[in-house]
Amino acid sequence: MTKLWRSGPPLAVLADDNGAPQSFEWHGDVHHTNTICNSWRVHSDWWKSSIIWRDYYKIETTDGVLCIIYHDLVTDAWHLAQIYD
Amino acid sequence: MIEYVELHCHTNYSLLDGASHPEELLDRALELGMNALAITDHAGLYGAVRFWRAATERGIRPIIGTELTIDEGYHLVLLARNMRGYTSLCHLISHAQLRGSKGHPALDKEILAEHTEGLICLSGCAQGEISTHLLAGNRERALTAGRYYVDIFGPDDFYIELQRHRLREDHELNEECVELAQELGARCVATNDVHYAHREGYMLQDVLACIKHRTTLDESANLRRPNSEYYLKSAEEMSSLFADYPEALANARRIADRCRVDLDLTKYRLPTFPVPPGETPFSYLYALCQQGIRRKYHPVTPAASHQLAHELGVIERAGLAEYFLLVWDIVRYAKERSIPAQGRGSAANSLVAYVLDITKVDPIRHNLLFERFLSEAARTMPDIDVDFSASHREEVLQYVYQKYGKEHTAMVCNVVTFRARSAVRDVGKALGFPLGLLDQIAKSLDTRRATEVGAVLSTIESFAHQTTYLPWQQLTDLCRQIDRFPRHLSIHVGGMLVTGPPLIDIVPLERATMPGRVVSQYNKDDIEDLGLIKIDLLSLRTLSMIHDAMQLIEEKRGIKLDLEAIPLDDPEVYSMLCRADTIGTFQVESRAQAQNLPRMRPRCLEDIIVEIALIRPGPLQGNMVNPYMLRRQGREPVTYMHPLTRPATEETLGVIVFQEQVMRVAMDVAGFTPGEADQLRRAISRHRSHHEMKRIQNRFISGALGNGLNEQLAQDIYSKLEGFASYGFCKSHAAAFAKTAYDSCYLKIHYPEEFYCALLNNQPMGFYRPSVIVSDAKRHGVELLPVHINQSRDECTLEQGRLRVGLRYVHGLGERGRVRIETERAHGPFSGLRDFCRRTRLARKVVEHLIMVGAMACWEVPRRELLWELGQLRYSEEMDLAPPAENVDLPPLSHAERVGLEYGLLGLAIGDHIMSLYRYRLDALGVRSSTTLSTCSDGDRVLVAGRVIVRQAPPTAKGFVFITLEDEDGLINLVVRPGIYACYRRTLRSALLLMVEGKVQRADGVLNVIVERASDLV
Repeated sequence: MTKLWRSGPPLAVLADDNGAPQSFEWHGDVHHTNTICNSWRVHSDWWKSSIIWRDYYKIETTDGVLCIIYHDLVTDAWHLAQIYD
Repeated sequence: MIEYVELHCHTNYSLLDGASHPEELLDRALELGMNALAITDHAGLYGAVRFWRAATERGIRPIIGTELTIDEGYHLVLLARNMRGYTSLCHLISHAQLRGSKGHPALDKEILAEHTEGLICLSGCAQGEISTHLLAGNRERALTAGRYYVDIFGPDDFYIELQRHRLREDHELNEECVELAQELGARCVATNDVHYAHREGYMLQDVLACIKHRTTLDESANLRRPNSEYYLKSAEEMSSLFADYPEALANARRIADRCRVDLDLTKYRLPTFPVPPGETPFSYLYALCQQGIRRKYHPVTPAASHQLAHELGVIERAGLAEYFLLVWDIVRYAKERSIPAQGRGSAANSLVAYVLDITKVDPIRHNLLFERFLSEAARTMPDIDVDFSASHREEVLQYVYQKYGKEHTAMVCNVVTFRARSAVRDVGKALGFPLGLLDQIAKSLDTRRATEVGAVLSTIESFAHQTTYLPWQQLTDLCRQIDRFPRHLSIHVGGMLVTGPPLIDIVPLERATMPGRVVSQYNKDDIEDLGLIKIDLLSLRTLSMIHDAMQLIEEKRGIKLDLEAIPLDDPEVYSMLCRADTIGTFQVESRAQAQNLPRMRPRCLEDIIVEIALIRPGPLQGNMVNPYMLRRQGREPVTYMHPLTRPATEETLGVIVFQEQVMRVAMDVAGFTPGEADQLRRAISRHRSHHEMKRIQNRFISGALGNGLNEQLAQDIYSKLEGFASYGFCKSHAAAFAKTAYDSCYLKIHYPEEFYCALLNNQPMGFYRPSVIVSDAKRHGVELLPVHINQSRDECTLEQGRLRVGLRYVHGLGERGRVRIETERAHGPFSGLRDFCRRTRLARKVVEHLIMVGAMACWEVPRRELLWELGQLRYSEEMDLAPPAENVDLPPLSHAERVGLEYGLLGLAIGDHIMSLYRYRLDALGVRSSTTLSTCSDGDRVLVAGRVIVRQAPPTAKGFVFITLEDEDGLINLVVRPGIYACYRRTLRSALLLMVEGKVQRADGVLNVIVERASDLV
């Protein structure tokens, strides 16, 4: 089962110099990035009051969790978008 | 140091798919330290010349290219390495454009193979053939496609594009592209598929996508790009993005270094003109001029023959004999067919044009400057406009197409851009505004500039409080950005390109909407910049009108009028002009003209020339008109800025009025050569770049200093020149128009019936609607006869000096209906309603209109009874319902009803003016008519009323609005100050019949009412 959020729950993330996430905290656990499978950027909805400007990262963690997190470039906050079970 | 050049770049000339002007991209490139930039708009070179010019001015090397769509919809980018490559581009673009249906150009891959010389090919964006196949997982097909391109272009001239817009598929796609390139033995190049100069441009880009696909932002997710990465990126950004492919990055620089195109097409510009055996084009021209000069001058004066020799010398050295022969031949053809034709524009400056009968203006008599027309030093091309009567222009165009062949002739295009209203409608729709609201906003805009939408809206009560909301701010901001963006192409009104080599070698072509017509992708400014020549073959309704009037005069009075032989000093013409009694005439008819004529009081043709140059539609600078007028009226002394300006401006009392004077002043004060003076004029009137203007200004100042002027005076004179040069009128142009204006006045005075008849038959034209012309005709003693079912023709005609209104004025009748009536009538007049309906089978509604305008009065049955009778007639295609057949007593139409019907269904009042219906009540209220108004004095308070026939808010009038009212006796001019306009905006904008209270302003024979209060009469 996949959990999917449009504006997902916030995460505390440690990113490297290029902005790529190295680790993140979720439900008390810290997960480390093993591979960044893909990354992409979205910039849209500027005509609405809530602009979407995000860098998405599809990550496989060292403990085998596959998920998508994103960096909101407007608020500088990180969020979880999708977790694959 | 990392260097990068962007090779895949769209300007806003990728119509509705590019969100920056060429200059904006170039300015950004300059900021980024780039010394070269490519332009690759879709299927065309529309912006290439402008880009090339702007790039050269900034010291950036322009790389000329395009992005074409191949069959099956794949994109491909082509860049020209040299002029051969440029020719290949023209061929390929033209093929793609002429082959597909209009608006969907598509190139056949086999044609591509035939025109690869001089080109470098890039594989395109994700929509390129190779990328498309790779994304679909078809490696084999991608390989096959790649092999084809490598084969036809060679491994040195075909590159696979790598792009990184932070899309999901980027990483994998690029890896596969690199692998493929290796297998093919081809190289890769990094590009950014740029669509705007700065990141913020992505918003406008999204809006353009919506406009293109006629949808809204909310509904267009799959039509918009997913992010804002398509801006012109710096070398640092690109090298960080392509850190893993440094070769691809370096190749962008390498490709750029191989591309060098100079768009100077001067040597291609003229077709060969067939001349008699033993002659060269020049010798033939020479002979024709010698014959011509003897016809025009009796005797041939030394001044004339000296001037002719001088001009012919310049023409010979400039190699332009064929150009003059080309135009001479076209005018000759027209004259042989009695098609009215006259040349104007800077061409009218030349004696050669005059003796060849191309123009009617004697340049010696009117002291015109040849160098305004043709200067040897400058690369400027001569510019001859020829006006033909509107009804015959097409015939002339066909002659040119046939004589020079379709391969060598094309029309010049015109780029239609976003202005205030179209911007509001299109941008607003994309943003999701309700269409009704957009319509309201658009209609309430007084400005043409989309940049001013925000400012204007904040002054309108109903919108002002909305402007703090985000959607409104976005609307006004995007309108500001989209101002003057290319929207679509149309054909320039008369510009025709005729070239030496086949057009397709030097100019990209496409289809026009009119079948069989081919249009070049370059507009008139581009043509000029390229050194090519166009002739403007224009149509002037006035010439048709004059032609028709003369035919009527011959028919009705047996007089064969020769307008070239009429005296130019007819006192009745001048007194008519002084009274501003000029409705229906040419160039001196408008409201602004009518305001100025009584002040100007023209007494000779030269005065008319100045009048036309001073008062024109377009920018009217308050302080441009006034000094001349003040001096003419003796209110201001005639002074000269400096003695050196005197020779140029003496004829106009020290004020610069004509463009030729700008040039003369530059020559006399700053020692400019004629060529340089022409460059000055051109630079200012075409709004050249800041750099170029500065350069010219410095040249002027130093030249003036050299002649002993001090710096301040030199600067003052230069600013005056700058001011005048951008909208000063060309004297020769004004002179040509003055003659036509005189002719039209002459006809109006001496042959009024024929004049008004021809005028009504050539509508729409001129400043006023037919209703105003008809009222004017009545005031001039012309009797009008109503539409008559048995007498009226399609057009208006004269019956014993009385003007019979034609069938074409009946609303809803249409051409087919008119033809049917005339055809049937040939078998005998219509004897009654039944007879008419049976024979013509016109729709019920149309017959109703004819009845209601009194066209069937000849049967002496009241209109209501006829309508009743019509109602009883069965039309076979209608339902079978039998109305009651008993006789009914119907009241006759009232006077008011009849007047109303005339306005409503004819658009004119043959009978009484609508104001006559109100006159009784208006008199009781003390409201003045135009006649009694004329007896008032300056400062009197008055009430006036009338039908609104003109409403103007000129952009330079600083918010003032001018309205003209019409009543039974004449016209009333109103002036509305901005404050008053704001109070009564709605009434003043929409009322058809207006009543105002105000103060009389009377000066120099001109009477205006300054409005203080306004109300709708209805």
